[in-house]
Amino acid sequence: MNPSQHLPTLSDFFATRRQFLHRFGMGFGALSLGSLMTQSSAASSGPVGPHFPGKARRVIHIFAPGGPSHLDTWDPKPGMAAHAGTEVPLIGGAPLPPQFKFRKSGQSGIEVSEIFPKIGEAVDDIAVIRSMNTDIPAHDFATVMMHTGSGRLVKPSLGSWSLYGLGSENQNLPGFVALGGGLGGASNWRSAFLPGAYQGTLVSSVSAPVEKIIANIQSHHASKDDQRRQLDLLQSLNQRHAEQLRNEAALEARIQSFELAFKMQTEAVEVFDVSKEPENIRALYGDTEIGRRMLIARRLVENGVRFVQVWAGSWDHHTDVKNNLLKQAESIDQPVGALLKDLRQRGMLQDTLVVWGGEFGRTPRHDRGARGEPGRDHHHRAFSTWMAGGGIKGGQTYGATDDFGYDVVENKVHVHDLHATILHLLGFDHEKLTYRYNGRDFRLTDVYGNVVKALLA
Amino acid sequence: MVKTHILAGLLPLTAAMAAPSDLAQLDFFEKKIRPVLVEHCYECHSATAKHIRGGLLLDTRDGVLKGGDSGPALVPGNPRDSLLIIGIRHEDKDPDMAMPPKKDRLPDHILADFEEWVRMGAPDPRTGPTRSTAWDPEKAANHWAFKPVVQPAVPQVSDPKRFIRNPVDAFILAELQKRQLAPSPKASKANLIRRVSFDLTGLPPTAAEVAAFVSDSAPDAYEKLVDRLLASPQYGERWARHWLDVARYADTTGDRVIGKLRAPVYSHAWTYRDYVIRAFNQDLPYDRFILEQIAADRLPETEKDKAPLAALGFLTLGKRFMGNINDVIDDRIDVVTKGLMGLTGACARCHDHKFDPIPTRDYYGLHGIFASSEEPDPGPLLSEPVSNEVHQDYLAQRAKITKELEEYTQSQAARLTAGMLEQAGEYLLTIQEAGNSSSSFRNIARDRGLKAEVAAVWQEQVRSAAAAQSKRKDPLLHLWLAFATLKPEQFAEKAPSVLSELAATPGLNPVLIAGITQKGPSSIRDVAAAYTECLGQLHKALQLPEFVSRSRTGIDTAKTQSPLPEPDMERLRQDVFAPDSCMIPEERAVAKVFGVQFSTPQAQIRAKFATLDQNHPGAPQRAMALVDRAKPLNSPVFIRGEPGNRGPVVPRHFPTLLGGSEQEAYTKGSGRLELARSIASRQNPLTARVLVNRVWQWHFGQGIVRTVSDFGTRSEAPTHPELLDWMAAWFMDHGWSLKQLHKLLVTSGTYQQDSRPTDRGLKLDPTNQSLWRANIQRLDFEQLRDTLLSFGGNLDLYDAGGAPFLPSAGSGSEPGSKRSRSTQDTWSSRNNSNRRTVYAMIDRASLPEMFNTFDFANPDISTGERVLTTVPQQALFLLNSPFVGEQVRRILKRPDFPKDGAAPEKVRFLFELILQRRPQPAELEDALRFIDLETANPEVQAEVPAVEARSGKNGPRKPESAPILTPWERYTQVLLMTNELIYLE
Repeated sequence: MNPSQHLPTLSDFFATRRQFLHRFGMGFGALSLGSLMTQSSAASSGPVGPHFPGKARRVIHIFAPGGPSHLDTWDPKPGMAAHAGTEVPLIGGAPLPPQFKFRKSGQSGIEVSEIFPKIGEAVDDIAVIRSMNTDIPAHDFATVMMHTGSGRLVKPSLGSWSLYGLGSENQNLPGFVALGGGLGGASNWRSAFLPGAYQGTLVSSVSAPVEKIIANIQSHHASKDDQRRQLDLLQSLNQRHAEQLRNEAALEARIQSFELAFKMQTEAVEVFDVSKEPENIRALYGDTEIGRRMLIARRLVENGVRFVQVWAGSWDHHTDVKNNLLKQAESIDQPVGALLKDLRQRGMLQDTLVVWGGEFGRTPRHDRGARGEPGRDHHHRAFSTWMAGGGIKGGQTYGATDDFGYDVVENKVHVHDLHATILHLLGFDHEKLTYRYNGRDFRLTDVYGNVVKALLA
Repeated sequence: MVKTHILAGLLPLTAAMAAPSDLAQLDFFEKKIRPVLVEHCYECHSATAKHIRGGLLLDTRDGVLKGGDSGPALVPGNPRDSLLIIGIRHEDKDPDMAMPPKKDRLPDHILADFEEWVRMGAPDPRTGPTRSTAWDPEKAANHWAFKPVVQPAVPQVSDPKRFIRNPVDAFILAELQKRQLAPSPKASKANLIRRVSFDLTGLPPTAAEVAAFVSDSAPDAYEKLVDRLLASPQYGERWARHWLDVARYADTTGDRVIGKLRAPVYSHAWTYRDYVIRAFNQDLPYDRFILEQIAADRLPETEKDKAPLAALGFLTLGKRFMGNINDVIDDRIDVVTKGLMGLTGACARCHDHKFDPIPTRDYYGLHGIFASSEEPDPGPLLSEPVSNEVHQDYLAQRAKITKELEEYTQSQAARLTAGMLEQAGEYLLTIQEAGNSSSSFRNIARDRGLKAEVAAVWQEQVRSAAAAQSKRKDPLLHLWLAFATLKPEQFAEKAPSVLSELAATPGLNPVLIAGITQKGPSSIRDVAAAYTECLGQLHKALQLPEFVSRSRTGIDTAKTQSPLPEPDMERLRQDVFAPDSCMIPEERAVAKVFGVQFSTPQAQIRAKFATLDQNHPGAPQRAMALVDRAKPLNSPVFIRGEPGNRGPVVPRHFPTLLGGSEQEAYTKGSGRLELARSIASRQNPLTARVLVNRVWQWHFGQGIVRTVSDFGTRSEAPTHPELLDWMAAWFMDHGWSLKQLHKLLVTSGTYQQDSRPTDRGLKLDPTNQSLWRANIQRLDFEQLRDTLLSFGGNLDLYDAGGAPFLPSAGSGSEPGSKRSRSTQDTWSSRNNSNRRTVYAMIDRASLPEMFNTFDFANPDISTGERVLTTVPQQALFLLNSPFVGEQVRRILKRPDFPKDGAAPEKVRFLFELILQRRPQPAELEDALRFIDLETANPEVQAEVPAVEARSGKNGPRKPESAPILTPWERYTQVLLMTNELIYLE
């Protein structure tokens, strides 16, 4: 049955909706899923809009929880082997040289660890930052720090700030989605003092049936046609009620939210359904949880989701860094390589920013507290992260560490600087994207942060 | 009493400063130094700076010498130790200290000039007074909220329409008239009872209550209604929840469980929640409420009546920040300053407050108070437990967990003992040869084919057996220790005499002695071989499993405690597994060697204590209290908030903005009671103002001051400043009684206005600042959920208080399902999801999604105002959640539903139940058409997905049959989704 046959009252309704949107001076596309604020403060809490045209329109942040070893992935130290039998300067202990070979890849000739053959194919799109650093080498702190700019205090996530800045382009989907999740939980995607509409929606496993993915997305007690007729009746009741109250904006917003919900039932289910993809694309990403996460991340941004946080792997390798790291690398290489390739072939890479990295790096020496085959301990003074697409000048490395990868010796990039740069790519001056809370104008980078200009295309 | 000058001792010594001694020096300053300061530094470091950075002012001599957050800018005569010089030379480790920031270093000749200037003693003629504060002192001094509350006169206004019911209305009307607006007429009685019932109790009125009120024409009908609502226990449940937002209430610490000794569950947070509900219901005066929440333990009354101790949860049940004490104190300072006084005091943790006159030393004056307080563990009993059956059951369950913990520990120890028995001699030999080196020891052991962790544990054990030898000789290890002292070259010669001496010593193990004798030992290796043989046999005889690294499965001690038939083996068994045997590793050693592998399962077992204490009805009720430390201490200022970077020590005191700079420091215990008295005081300009504004906001939907938790200089100006002051004074004059304040507000003409807009109102005051009508207000999550439950006849108002129930992730409660994840979860309260939402478990680490979706207050921070959003997920909840489906079905099964009545009668019933009014003719018509259409249209069930099969203990359950809603149920659901239900007029 075609639902539109049941829409006798809806023509009136649509007229009202247009008036509503008109009254608030926005086109429909500017309204995000969450921007339908009912508070009187609506004017100040809607998306603020970019300060200047940004090169990136959306972000996929692939987070590698646990702290991947920079020495074995993106910061080669071939000289370390020659130091066998000596001690690592300053911290002592026997140096543990990189466990893998590095190959010059792409036209840029950037050295890429042999464990990332597929990602290496896209290295000319990638800018590797070898001079990252953060404040504290503890997982909880550094993870939340990476996502919110503060390890302890309750601050909004990078994704929430992005959404607060730009809004969403699809009113039928959440504007900020976290795929996977991990240590620190909601601290990593919460909106904190920003309005709840900018909160990330967690989807803990994309292998689950879709109704586990979004709460109440399916009805077990009514068919879509039943619901359509229910909504028609509802809207006529609401319409009569709203007329008495002169079509107050809050009432209109709620009327609208039911229509959005109705459409979401179809659209959200579809976007999470990878079987809608052709066989070759599914094969490209691989049939694993991480493969599906990357593919869904692409489907989400393609459908107008502003920010996707993808949790991928488990990189806390205190023991046997060689084998454990290899296992993790194998689990992400194909999916992440596929994501970059797929975004490029769709012409989306130029305005989609892809970020990969963990919360910190790992020590150049054995983790002396651990048993078994040698591994590495937490290390916050230096680590590597890369960015690709959306306004990034690819095919370059930025910054450098000392001979042991212990300390940054050139072009330090703190987490705040990374955040400032991401906001810049989205079209924001990170010092001006602020939100007034408790009498203070808060921003993602607190009182820190410098845009790393060299990374920009 | 010694008067302490709070500011004394904090000002920097200025003795070393140099006044310009001669004209040449003055000339040098004017030519070489001043122009550079003006050009490169004043932008951020002068009184004219927009924001003063780092608290540093370089525009006067005093400013330079006093310095900023990092200390004095220079040391006259000593350029090398002068921060200013280090900064401009870019020599600081911290790149942010390189000055001027984000620019190239100043030219070398300028650097040389500055060094020269400092070397000559930094002569500086700029003696004028300086702005020494980050904030604007003039603005702060004139800020309305920091001035005493003086009750203004009630304005005289003409009131032809008899709008005024009490003085509140006079203020409102005066402002309306100023804006050339008129108040709206009185709301209909049906709207009014709906509005005030939801407002005061969080629940809708019943159809009967509406009918009674509408037909009661007595002039005091409304007043009687208000009195009844204020007297109902549901009032406290509703208004306590408002306060719990401010108190950032939660039942967990927000930390994760792994490796922490403290469970993430607060077993007794709910005693605070119940205390707050009681306080509201009993109309505890607000000043008393404050005293109890900050310092109940210091009040003489609590020596007898322990109940108010629960109030201290206000301070203690915040987030725990992985045990970071300074963050915990910060959270407490925040909830006290922001929650009670609308001061963003926590801003002064790292630097002086940017806008309000709160220097860091005031922050650390409060820090000392909380650093001088500690939490007793366990918390004090709120009442003595009654020794009845339920309590006995609690004790039994506790004992069971204790036993489980012991068994786990013992089984892990037994596992290690067994590991050693496999290759006892080799382990002992390795330990002997490795001596005391522990770093390479594990590798040595591994090279010999031994298990590193077993070796490490035994190294500890041998060490402690050796240390204990003078007191007790271990029947087995003593033999080894006796031989181990022999030098290798003398071994063969001395061994026989050692052996005979040992054979004559009582208490040693004869089987092992025989084994060693048999070897005729010529070196320690022979002794080791004897150990391996004897104990290896025991390992076999007991049929112990082979040692597996990293296993979490221990060895059941029953296995090592059952006697063996063979006498020699039995004798060995008894000595190895004796309770005081050195062959059983101590818990400490196991924990040390195994780390998280051992302590994580232990912590998981320990967490059961917290769950039991929280939920068992026989568990003693305790307060999450604070007590003063025996030796209270003042805290130093932490420069830039860094605990390692200590500034001057500050006496414990009230912020000088309120207490003045010559106040007495707090000296009684931690000073908490003195702090509480300073807050709960008529003299405090903020406390009453902040509270009446909060209450106003909760009644009217917007505060007179919009920034309800910030009354500082950056707050929004009050829309009705005189009304706010008048109410604050009135409130204090009326014994700080909340119920009297409620009554004043809800019986005002302002509150009783209609909410329908007028053209004039929309044009002149579209956001209704002047309150020309009543605001339309949306039900919050608790109101909505409680209301849906009450429609379905499910709301359990009798199961009030006590341990929280566990809301399910999706809906806030799963209908009809009893959760039974473990035996502890079977207590009724925990499972009764038909209780009011205020009794739901609030888990900081994982708030159920629907709580977030419906804008529940963030339990991590004190929340003064919920920012309500409208998102499709809320609509999905009403459309699709099993919870709503269940309530819909239950509505039609209510005993009072006219199931045999005619269709119009049914529609009328549903309208009266859900919307508390009768349907309009058009609405009735729509309803009948809808029902007809739905009934005539036999919708197929095929399109509705079946409820997914859930797997239970006994394999997957059968899919539940999809319970399609009937036409009447579908109609009912539509009414539950209407704007009219969720938006109160």
